[in-house]
Amino acid sequence: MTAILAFAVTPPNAKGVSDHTTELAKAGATVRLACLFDPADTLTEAGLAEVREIDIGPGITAERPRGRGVKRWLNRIRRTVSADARADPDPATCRWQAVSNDRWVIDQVARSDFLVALDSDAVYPVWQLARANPGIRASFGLYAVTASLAGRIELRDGR
Amino acid sequence: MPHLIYLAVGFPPAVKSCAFRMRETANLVAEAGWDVTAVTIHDEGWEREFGVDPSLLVGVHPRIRIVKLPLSREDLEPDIRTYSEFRAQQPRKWLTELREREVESFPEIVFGSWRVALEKAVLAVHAERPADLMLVSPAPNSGLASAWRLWSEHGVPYAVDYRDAWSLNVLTGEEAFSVGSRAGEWERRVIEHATAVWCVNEAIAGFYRDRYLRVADRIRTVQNGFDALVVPTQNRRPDRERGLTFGYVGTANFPADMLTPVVEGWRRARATDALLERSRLVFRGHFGAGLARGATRHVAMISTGAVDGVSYDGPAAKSDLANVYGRCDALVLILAGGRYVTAGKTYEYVASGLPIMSVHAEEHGAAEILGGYPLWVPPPAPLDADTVAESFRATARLVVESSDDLRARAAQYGRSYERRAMLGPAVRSLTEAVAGEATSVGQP
Repeated sequence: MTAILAFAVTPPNAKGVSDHTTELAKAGATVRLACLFDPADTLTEAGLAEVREIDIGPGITAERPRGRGVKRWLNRIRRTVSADARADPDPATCRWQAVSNDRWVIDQVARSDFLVALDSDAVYPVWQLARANPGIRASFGLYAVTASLAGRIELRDGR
Repeated sequence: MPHLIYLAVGFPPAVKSCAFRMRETANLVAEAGWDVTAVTIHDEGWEREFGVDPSLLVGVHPRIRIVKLPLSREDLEPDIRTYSEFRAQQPRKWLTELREREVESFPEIVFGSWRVALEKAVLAVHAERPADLMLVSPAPNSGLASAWRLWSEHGVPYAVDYRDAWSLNVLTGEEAFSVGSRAGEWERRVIEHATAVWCVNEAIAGFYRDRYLRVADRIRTVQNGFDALVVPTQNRRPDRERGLTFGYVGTANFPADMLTPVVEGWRRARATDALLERSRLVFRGHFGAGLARGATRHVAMISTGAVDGVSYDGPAAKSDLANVYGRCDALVLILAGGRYVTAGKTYEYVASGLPIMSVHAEEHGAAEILGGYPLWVPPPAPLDADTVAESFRATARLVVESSDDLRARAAQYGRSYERRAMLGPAVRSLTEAVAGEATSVGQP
């Protein structure tokens, strides 16, 4: 059984995800999702084995707000990130910190064969986790995993 | 035996709409007694877009050699391990910088950086087996530089098959860049020395003739046409009891917002028409490339109509298209742009012999083909949910009321646009001119 751990900062389209999970299930793979938003019931039909919401910090959305809320959002991020990161705070670092502090994520990474970013803001945590776990392949998009399992593209491991 | 180097990025087995025009063009040249080397990119590059379909290679003439270059779009790289930390951490800034780098060697975003690799490949093919003619089919437009270099260094004449247009934005109808710009300079010198320039419709050809008056006589329209493979052997009889199936078949290259009046119009039509209430609206085709396959706004908007019998049933293989068309009672043609857009699917639609309901601008290139088609419901104006609802009702009436004779006339009209018939005269003219006398326009 191939284990895939996906990350999303922006809510993905459930139908789009389900097309991929269906295809991957045929190849003997299961997909779990760590999301940095409230999944509510938007992903119930996406064919995911499990969905985990990662708390980024009190009152902070992982997605950068538009308009006037940006300043308050950045200030909250500055208060959340560690002292090391505070000198040069950025949303990507904040998201990575939230992901790296989550026990469920740590457990799942240890069992995963593939890490997948479903959107561009989810790439940085995946990139960091891939660097720390050389045996796992990492891709942008679930389609790449399907193509890799079918031997149509190569996703390298870090060894 | 004369030799053609055909720079055809999108040649089979790439799942690209241009693959069929490229395959037929190469086949016609090969059948004229030429050797053909088609230069394209490797399969892994296509996996980042719409993928590959090995069945597209069936029917490629045995005298055609395919050279695949290890080129891929860097922005679509799926392997996160290959990313720099900067790319991973700041994807938008990284993309902005990439776009700046891409235009350094050639003024075309995304593909400008391919110029050097394409030139090297074409020169290598020529060194191995000298070419008598080069045909380049943009995009990528950076391939034009290869044709220019082969001509200027080795005197090999070339022709350009513009499947789209470069200096014209076909969607807005506006000039994409001025004659005096860097891209304008490139296009001018390439076109002015080309043996022939092909455009897919008369509106685009007219734009180029006006822009390059000195060589207007070398610019001709070479329409796309359809492949016999997609024509259903038998169209089904509409079943009033079970309801009708309206189909959209093709790549979704229109803005997702165009689906709003379509889905809402369908809902309203169903609410007022008993036959439509039992009917379905099915979308088939590639909706989103690469990472976004099946996960686009289009699919999300289609799914809002699920309770009203609207569905997205995924892509269809070319080899299955005849069956897909054969399961439809009517087709919905949704197109972006205006008079400069024709769209390959328009030819397929008319070839199907089915009633066609248009959803596009009133003044549109597709209307040139559809105007003579007897089972056409022209685009509603203004384009909104109520007018689209009326179009659905009118199309349903056309489905159930049209006679066998009318359907036969529609099929006959549609089949006059077979791809070979569209491409044949242009290919013949080009190969005969070059084989008869090494034609070059001006001196390198």
